[in-house]
Amino acid sequence: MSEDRTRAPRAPTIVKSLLLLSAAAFLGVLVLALRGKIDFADHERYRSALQRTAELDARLGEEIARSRLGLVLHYDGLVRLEDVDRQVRGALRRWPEHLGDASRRALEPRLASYERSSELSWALIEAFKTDQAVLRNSLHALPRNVDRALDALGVAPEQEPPRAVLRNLLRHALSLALEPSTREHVEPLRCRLAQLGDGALCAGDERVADVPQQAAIVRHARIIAERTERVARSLQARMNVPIRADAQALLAAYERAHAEHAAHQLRLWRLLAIIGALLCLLVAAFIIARLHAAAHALTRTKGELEVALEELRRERDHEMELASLKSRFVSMTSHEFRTPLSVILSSAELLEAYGETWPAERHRTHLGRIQAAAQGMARMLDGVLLIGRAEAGMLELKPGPLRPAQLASQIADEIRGVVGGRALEFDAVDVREMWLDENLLRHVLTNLLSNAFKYSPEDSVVRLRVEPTEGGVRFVVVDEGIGIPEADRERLFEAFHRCGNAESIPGTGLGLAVVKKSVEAHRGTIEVESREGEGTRFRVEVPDLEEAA
Amino acid sequence: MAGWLGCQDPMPPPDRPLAPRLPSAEHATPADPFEPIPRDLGLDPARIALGEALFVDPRLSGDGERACVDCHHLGAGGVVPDEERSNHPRNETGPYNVPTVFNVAFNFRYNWQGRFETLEQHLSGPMMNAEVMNAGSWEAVVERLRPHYDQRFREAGYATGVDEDNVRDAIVTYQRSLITPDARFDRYLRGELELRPDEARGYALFRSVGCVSCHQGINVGGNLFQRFGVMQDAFDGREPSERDYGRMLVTGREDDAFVFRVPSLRNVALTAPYFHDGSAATLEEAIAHMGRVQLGAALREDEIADIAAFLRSLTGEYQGTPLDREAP
Repeated sequence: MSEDRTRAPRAPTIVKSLLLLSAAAFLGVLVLALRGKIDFADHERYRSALQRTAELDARLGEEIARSRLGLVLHYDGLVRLEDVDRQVRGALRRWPEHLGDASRRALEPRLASYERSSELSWALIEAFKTDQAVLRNSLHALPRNVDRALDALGVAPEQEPPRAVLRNLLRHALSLALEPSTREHVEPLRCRLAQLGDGALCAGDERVADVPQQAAIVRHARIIAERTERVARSLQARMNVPIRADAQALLAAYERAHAEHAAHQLRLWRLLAIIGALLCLLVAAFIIARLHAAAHALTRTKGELEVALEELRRERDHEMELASLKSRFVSMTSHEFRTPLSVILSSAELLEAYGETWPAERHRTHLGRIQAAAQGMARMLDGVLLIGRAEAGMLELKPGPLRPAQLASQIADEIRGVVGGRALEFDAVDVREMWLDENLLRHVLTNLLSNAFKYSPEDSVVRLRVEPTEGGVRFVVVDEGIGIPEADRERLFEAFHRCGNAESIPGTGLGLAVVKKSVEAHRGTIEVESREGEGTRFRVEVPDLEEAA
Repeated sequence: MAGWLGCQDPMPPPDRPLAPRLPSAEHATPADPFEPIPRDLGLDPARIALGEALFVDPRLSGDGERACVDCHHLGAGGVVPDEERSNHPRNETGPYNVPTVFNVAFNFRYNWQGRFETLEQHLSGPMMNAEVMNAGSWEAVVERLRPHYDQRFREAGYATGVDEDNVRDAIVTYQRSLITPDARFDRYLRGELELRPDEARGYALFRSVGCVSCHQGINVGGNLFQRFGVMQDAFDGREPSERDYGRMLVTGREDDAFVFRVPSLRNVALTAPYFHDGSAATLEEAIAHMGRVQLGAALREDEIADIAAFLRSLTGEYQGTPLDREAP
């Protein structure tokens, strides 16, 4: 029990500390996992912004081509795309919340690279717009100015020097306009050139033609040459800007960082799941341990309670027994003592009244009655006291060395003296000396023998036999008396119980109770065999107390 | 801004609307280098009203004496009606001619040098310029405005009340709302009317002479940079001053010397004088100068008059009222 008591609370203590430990681990990992929680909307926003860069680039390419070829005659489309690009770059600058500092630091150079490319791209597009506007104007203006110059000159072939100048200018302009985008615009110049006649250059070519459009024509031709080249250069440079590669590198780096982070998150959640499962197990174990401890305590308490209850019940029974004994004692004594008392009283009264007149013999008779009554009362008192002591557990066992056959023979002689003339057959096998309580055995044998005589006819024989048993001695008392009715067997040894067929015979009902208590006190047994009207056999066995000890 | 051209697929919308989405024009043909101005941009009226209140509120300035509207009169083409305007009100000889505030929603850069890419950025320019509004700092502006405007901002849907972003947004929303649709030319583009003969001749000249190379798109300009003086020196031989270097002052590149943002010609008839330095007093003067230095074209007077007639057809209406109704 004491071991149980110490073991039962120990298990929950261990479980509890494990529980607290894993709960702390769980919370720690949970905080980590939640801090790095991926906002997938944010992630999608970022990725779509990254993916839009490619789309934007393609659109820009288309829009530039349309502007260049004159399919659209304004730059609003480009301006609009610049606005979109500004938004995309703004979106790219807002990192997704879940990216860690390390990831951001790793991505920042890529973003910076993309932004540089984007800015460079827009600078080149601006240059394209500016140059393209001027180029487009000159491509219109040159033929117009040539027209006007020719108008001013007239188409007469004799004005050769100015015509040669014009021709050279046109040839120059045409040679510059090899760019496919401008060729279409200068096509009319070919017709003009054909009109002017495609002759060889003459010495006066460098002279200033005497037309007001001269300067404008030269200027426009130069502009076409310059700006065509610049437009081509700007566009080529823009093509060479690694904006798409930068965007793809950024996208790839971002995807990698995201994947790493997602894997890390997955690991965290997995760890969290494991710790969570462990936590659940520990909680279950803790609960089970607590339940177990509680059940254990309950069982213990129940056992203790049962023991206590049994104790109480025994005490109660004992109390009740004592109480009933007392009440029976009171009623019996009041009844049993009254008879001898009234005998004593009446004899005393008679002696007082007639003492002087009565002869001495009558005196003796009445004095003898008084003596007998007083002796009966004394015996009864002894019996009651003995039973009382036995009931109270105070009947002491005081064994001493004794020869049982000698004791039995002694008692037989004493009884013979009392019953006067009745036949008592004593039959004793030689029994060795052993440790017995003489006083208790005296009670047993005296009562059994006197009962045997009391409840049997005058001419019958009572037999007493002493024989050894294994580890003790047996006394057998046999009579040929009235026997014990079946109905009374059960309560035979109760105090004050009188058998149904013995009511006419005076007795206290204490004798067999005293026998029983005495035998029990001696750790012996008593058996009874009886047949009503034929006789009774009591068999008492008591152990040698030295051997028993 | 996606989708103001009918012929273009709009890009998928970004994750947040940056600029107002413009409705597409209905009747412009792809061959036209122009777009009519839409009649409505779908901006939040409450925010427009709030922005208007801020636009005219001198508390935005450091000394509490100057509001945006002091230089951008709405009754005069969106500019202050001085003969020689400057955006440096404390310095009458300041370098730059004030650009109009009308139709700024359609410009791609702001101020003559194109220093600012968005209206939000641009706002800080004049606000924090010690020579203009001298507002100090945005913190100071917010502090000055908060006692008077916090409730109004919240009512206009700005959950955080008066703060820098919200003040910018309200003012810029108002600026974007300052559009002048239904110019005669726009209605011509929509097929609602025919141009007068002089306007039609002017339009043809505008295209054939080459003005349209730079002045195109919805704002008839305002969407690219160009050198002032393509064909010849624009300053007629005088020594250029610092302001004449234009965009070079922003980029530091010599290539950008004398490069300016091509201004919009919307309502140009009302915004004399012209050019960044206000050096052309009349429209005709400006047209002649442009033809000469930009296009190498010596325009005749009748051509100039026709082009001027076309440019006058670009004068639109603000909230249903023609801008030139009260013009002399």
